[in-house]
Amino acid sequence: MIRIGVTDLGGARHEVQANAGDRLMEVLREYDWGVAAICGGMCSCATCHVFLEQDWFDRFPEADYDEQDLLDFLDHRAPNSRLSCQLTLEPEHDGLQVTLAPEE
Amino acid sequence: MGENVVIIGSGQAGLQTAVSLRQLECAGAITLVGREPHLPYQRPPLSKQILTGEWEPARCLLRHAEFYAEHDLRLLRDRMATQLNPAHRHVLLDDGTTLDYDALVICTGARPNRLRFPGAELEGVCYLRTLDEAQALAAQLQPGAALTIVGGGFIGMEVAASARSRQCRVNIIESQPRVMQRSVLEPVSNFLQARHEQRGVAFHLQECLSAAHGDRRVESVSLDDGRRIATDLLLVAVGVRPDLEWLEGSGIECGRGVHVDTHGRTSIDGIYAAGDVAETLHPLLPGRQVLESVQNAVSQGKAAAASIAGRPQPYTEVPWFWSEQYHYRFQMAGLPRPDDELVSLDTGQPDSLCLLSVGGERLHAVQCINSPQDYMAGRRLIGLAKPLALDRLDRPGARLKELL
Ligand SMILES: Cc1cc2nc3c(=O)[nH]c(=O)nc-3n(C[C@H](O)[C@H](O)[C@H](O)COP(=O)(O)OP(=O)(O)OC[C@H]3O[C@@H](n4cnc5c(N)ncnc54)[C@H](O)[C@@H]3O)c2cc1C
Ligand code: FES
Repeated sequence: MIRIGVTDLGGARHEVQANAGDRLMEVLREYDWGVAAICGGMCSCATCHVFLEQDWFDRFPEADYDEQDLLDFLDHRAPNSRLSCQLTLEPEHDGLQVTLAPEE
Repeated sequence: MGENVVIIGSGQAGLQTAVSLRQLECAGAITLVGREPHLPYQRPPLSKQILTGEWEPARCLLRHAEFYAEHDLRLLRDRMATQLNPAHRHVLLDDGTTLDYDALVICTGARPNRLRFPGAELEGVCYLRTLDEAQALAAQLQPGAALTIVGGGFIGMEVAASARSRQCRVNIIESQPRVMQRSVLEPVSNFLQARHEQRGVAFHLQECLSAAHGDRRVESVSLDDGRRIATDLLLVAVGVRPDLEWLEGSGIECGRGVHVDTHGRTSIDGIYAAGDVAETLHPLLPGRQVLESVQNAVSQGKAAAASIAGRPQPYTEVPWFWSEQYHYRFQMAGLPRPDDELVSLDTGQPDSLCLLSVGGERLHAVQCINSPQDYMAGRRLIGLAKPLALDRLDRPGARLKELL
């Protein structure tokens, strides 16, 4: 079981649980916090944008070119931006802290 | 507001409407009625990851089973609306029950066009719209099996790619001179057809299916010119039409689809429509359009929910769509118009494509293959709807985002 702390758009904090192998987007989409994930994880829409706390940011494989290209066009892009559909959760991500990015 | 909302059709648009209503803090009753036995799911993987076997079917579900109770959404599955009675504000279901509503949202999507031909009833002749159909087709895509596809549209092309990845032999029969003619610019058709041919897919363009042959099961098909193709499976993928039959007699204004404005409102007060079933006005598009895409279903679902919640938010998002065939990701935004000029941009990368459809200095559409950056820039530029300084792209290495 992987525990994830989520800060929603209103600043409220929630804790959710996930399993190893889950994609972060699929976990977040289950809650009504505004992760639209329109393309269903195909790296085509950038509507699954999140911010990771820096320590955690470094613990995921780097974004590939496609993801970088989409991130580049987001108004709310930050150095710790990721598309959550591209993040696969592993046991070492227990305790992960993410903040949802505003809708574009 | 304590309104009683009934949503007919629990696909992408229906679910989005329900979710958005709760997000907008609508506290009333929400009932989702769907003809299928499944929880609401997404269709794009049906021609892709379900056929290739990469995904378990459950991965297509848009929300987990508990979600509905947690959000107080009443989900009626395996139930079909058969009649709409606006005067009494109720819908009739196929089990004889009636549902009263304060607000009704029509989200019945579209169904595949059926083709009539001798042999249409043979086993092995199939269509692809639902998860059940996708699973049944996936089970038959055994290595070496021969699949013939009628219709070289997005679904036909995606299925061809998935079937090749499972070592099936694939033939595509298309009546038009090029594949995906209705939706994509010519260079896209040519690019993708060539990639399919490199992988062994055979195309029969400007040809029509005349019959399927076999005893109980399809064994071959014949074309108009008399040629025969041996086959184990025949997929008919010749487009869809909005699922409107149940609205007959309701008096609601329909053309190809249910007419809606940018707020999802139909011609009848209190009735809204969203998704593949709707024929909508859109500030960036000419006339009314039936847009068959996930993005459109989501945007229209949101617009309908916002209207019902009394916090109207028009649909203005630039329409966009994607398709995947092998490792080629096609992305398009906007719609080309007949008199547009076609501009091809150098993407700076091999095996990719970026096309612009420009009219009166405005960018009407962008269509890209494996060039997400140009696609994103194009989508933005279409939304800005300002004159384009295209001459600035007349040098090597120029990128579309410079025009933003
Ligand atoms: C194989 C396939 C691949 C696709 N790939 C892509 C893609 O890559 N990208 C993209 O953007 N789009 C894609 N699409 C299109 C996209 O899935 C649709 O645009 C989208 O599902 C439309 O949502 P909808 O809610 O309007 O319709 P649907 O998702 O079709 O939902 C309508 C639902 O209403 C039900 N229904 C119909 N009539 C009744 C009735 N009278 N009573 C009760 N229920 C009823 C239907 O059974 C259905 O479940 C694809 C579609 C298919 C079939
Ligand atoms: S869900 Fe579309 S890019 Fe992540």
